[in-house]
Amino acid sequence: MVKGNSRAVDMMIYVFLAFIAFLSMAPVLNTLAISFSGKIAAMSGEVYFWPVDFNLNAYKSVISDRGFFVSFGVSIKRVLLGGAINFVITILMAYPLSKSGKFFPGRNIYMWFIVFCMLFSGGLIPWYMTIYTFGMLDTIWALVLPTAVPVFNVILLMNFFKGIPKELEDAANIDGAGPWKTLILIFVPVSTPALATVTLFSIVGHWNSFFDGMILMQHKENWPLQTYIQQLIISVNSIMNTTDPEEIKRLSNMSSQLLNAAKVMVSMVPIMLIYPFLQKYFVSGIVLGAVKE
Amino acid sequence: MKTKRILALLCAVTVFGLTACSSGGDNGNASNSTNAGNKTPQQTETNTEPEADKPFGKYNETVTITLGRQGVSGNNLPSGDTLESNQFLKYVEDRLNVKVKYDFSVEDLDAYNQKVTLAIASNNTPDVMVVDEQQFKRMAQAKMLADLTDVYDQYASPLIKEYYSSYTDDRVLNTGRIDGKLLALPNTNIDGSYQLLWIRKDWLDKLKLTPPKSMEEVTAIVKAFKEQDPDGNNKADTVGLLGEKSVVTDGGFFTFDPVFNVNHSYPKNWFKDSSGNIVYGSTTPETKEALKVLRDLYAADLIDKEFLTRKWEDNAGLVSSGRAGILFAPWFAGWALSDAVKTNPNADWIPLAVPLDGEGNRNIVPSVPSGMFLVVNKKAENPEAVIKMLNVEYEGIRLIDPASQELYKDLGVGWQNYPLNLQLDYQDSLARDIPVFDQAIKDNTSAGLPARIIPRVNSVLKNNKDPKKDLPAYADSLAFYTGAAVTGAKEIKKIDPIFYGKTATMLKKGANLEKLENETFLKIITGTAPMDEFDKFVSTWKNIGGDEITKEIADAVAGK
Amino acid sequence: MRSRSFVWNYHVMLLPGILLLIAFSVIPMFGIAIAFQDFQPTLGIFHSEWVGWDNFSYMFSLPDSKLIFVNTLTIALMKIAAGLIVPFVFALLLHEVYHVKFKRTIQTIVYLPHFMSWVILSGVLVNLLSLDGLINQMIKWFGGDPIMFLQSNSWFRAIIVSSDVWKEFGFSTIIYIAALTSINTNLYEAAAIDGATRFQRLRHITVPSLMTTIILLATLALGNVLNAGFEQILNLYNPIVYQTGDIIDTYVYRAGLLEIQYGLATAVGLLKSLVSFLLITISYVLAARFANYRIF
Repeated sequence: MVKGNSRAVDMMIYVFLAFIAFLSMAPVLNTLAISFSGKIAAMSGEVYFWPVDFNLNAYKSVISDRGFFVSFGVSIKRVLLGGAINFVITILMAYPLSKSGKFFPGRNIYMWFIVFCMLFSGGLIPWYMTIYTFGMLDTIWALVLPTAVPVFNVILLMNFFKGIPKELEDAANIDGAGPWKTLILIFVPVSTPALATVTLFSIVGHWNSFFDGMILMQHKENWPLQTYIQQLIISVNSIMNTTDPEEIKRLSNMSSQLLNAAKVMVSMVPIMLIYPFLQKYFVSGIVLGAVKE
Repeated sequence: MKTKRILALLCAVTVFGLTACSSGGDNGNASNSTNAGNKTPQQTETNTEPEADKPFGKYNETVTITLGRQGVSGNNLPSGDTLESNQFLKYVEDRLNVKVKYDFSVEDLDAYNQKVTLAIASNNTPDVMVVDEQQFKRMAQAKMLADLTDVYDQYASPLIKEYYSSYTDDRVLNTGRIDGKLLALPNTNIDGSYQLLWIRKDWLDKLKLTPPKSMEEVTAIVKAFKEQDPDGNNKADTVGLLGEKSVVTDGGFFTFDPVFNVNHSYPKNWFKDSSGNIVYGSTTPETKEALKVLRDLYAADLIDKEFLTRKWEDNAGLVSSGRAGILFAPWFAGWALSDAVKTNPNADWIPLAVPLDGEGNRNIVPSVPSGMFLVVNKKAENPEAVIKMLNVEYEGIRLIDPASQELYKDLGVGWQNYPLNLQLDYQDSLARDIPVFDQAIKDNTSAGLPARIIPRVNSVLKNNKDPKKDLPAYADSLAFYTGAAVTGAKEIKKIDPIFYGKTATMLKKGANLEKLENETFLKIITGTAPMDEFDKFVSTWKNIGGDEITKEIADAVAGK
Repeated sequence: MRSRSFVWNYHVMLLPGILLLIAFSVIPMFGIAIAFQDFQPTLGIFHSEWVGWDNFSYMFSLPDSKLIFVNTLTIALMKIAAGLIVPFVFALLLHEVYHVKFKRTIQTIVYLPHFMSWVILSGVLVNLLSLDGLINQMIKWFGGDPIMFLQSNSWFRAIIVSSDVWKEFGFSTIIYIAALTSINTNLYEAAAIDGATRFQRLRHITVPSLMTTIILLATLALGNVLNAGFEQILNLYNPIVYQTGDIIDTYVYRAGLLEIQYGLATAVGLLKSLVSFLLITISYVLAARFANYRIF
């Protein structure tokens, strides 16, 4: 009796969880279906999770859109460069900060300084003026240097480092290894989960941010992909379109909704590609970085 | 902000030059000249001056001009060419030996305003920008602008000067003057860009209705369109009267200005009431009445329920997919509406003048003289080069220089791809073309007309011969000819505002006041707030700056 | 001796990061001066006229200022509450699953939305919530009247909060799941022998062992009560829902960048920074005192 009841409860939990998981993906599946659908079906809301009037027009149009790929390239560049900078800075900062104030006088001053910088800002305009003064507008540096110190990641990795047994470090020191050697040969190799986690965070952060691109990039061809897509979604398809026969023809075969759906799908591809590889690490990475005893 | 978008549209329609210098083909001589500037009296008097000092004079040494501007969304340049590198730009550069360097160019209006704001804040504005009034005044206040008084007098070509002087009392150029100094070259808003009532004639016919005259008849037609399945697809998918969340906009698409005006309400404009007091149109009892009318329409499902979240292209989509059959928009909506023919060859949009009020008048508010300002940075080394660029540009846009006629021939590339996107034209440019079209149809030829009007005349002729067969020709004809002709309806009564522009308090607090107004109007129309909200709005408006502004305007008007 | 050279090396390691923070955080902080100035670009912050508290008094005279603080607080608090409870319940359910593969698949799927940007998701949401969108199709199918979610002041906050929960709940379960796996399985076995039902075990073992975690997370969330989600709201709102959806960050953005009200925008931003800093400090102290947890 008890057992039967328990099995029924189990079933309900399984079904419920599966349903929730489906809900998590539903909007994306819906967008995917729309991106492969015909214009009229998409606009009149007939598309659920399976394409109606299956066609590839939206994707063909994405492929022919040079601006989209230029921005895609900017984003890739940003992720590689910004991710690398974040990686190095995070490791270099997390290690000394993981030392207690006893071993490293001044540690707490640094820590409060970092937190203060995270919380306080002079506002957008002074921030912009600073970057302008450095001559970085319209360069990739404007996208990677102001975000070079990912405070949250530093704290996470720092806590992870704190959990590494003291004995490991002591043994290395006895062998004559200095702090740099200890960091690179001992700490980094044993911290794969945490490093994978912070790397994923910084890659996703760089890939997803649109606002700095919008503010700091003066020309369209320097926009990262998310800025490009954001502008695409909000901007009024100018009235100019309608004065041009070719444009009228092209637009009439394609609702902007379809096109946006296709672009949204394509822009998700890189995250989808790296996510499975890093996913298995981040549970332990986050847990050890955040919940320490 | 909306206005700018509309202005961009107005600009768009003048791709090939909207007007003749005067009606008829009297200026063939100008189009035969490669350098019209050489003919001006000023030029003959001053031909001892170096070449570079003439309105069209070429510089010996390359002059670099930096530029920040709004891009052209959905630009239709041939592939490989961009806003920052195209034949129009090269044409201007080559004729003057000027090099144009783009500091920034973005298409979305908000994004552009951001760029301008940040450039102003960091005191790093390019040599030239085209900005809105708020930005212009702000830059003038910060003493960032070059005084163009002398360079305009010396360098502006006769054509440019003619455009400005076609407006009575110099009222356009005056908007660019502050304390007697010309700090900006304003654009010119031509007459007749108020809304018309556009309606599906084929639907009217199907339901055996006649074109409406009064607001009541308009309401009845919207109701019929909504309920009697005019497209015969057995689905209740018609959305009613289209709307726009800005509610009221000079020259706006889908806005409700005519509904206000027919109720003798003139929101967003300044007037003297019957007892001579200065009032702000948005705060009058008539405006409350008009809002009540809209509120009732919305409650009865006769206004598109979703107009708040529709973007321009969503509304255009409703038109082209045949879900909308009635809307308010200016004459140049012809281009957008012609689109409906593609999905349904029987779709027949016709323009009508706005409804008659009780006294038999069609009330309209004339457009503000200008809304965009070409400003030159005080630090720019060659402010005159900007004027010269404008001279050359308009010889190109109006196809006065034969060389310019070859640029992107027959491709319909938007004139905004010229570096300076400042629209200039004669005040009555719309009306003065109508007789030209009439005559051309009568003669069935475009021969002997000035180069710049020929493409339009050809469109009208082509469509006249074979209606709706050639889509671009149909679109041109619907806008320039059919639409434009309606703007001159004889019952039109112009309600001239007593004040245009922005006062000091408006610059400081205007944005917050506008937000309050727009939100209140939207809430009342959609029924999310009671009618009384209007009275609350009026008193709040007065308290947070409205009274101050009223006083400033009274002073300004008295000072004149 | 050695430790001194170690410390020197630590300083060197921190140097690049600290320099970057000085360049991109500390230097712009001088811009706070704009909040007390009638800022004129040509004069810069060094020569613009000082106006004392004018910008602040103007801010408080605006009907909007109260509204944006109320909106920010309401939305943020709703998000914090929902963001604590939903993952908690979900983690409990997931904890009941013994089928490892099933569990892992579910986890992989529910973490995913966390990694999508609001730019993308807002595009998806706007489609989904439109009158012709999926949600309204379903409402119609069940015989209801379609709802204009994104332009309704009674729905907007709910949309903002639930879409945020939808995006983040999966990812937030990670910490709970970690805490759950650290529960000693002997406890469950002992309880089972004593004849405790499933629900009793949940109530008396599982939930209590998560209490510290949830209290800790709640404390840490305090620092976020003025962060209602700028990117999300910027991409989803429209003027009709300013009344319920306009928050401090979107307001500052519009005032400063679209309306050229530098002083006002900086003043509002400064006020927000101050309150946030105060709250973070409080949460740091609370966490340290009651959970013996040091965030940093």
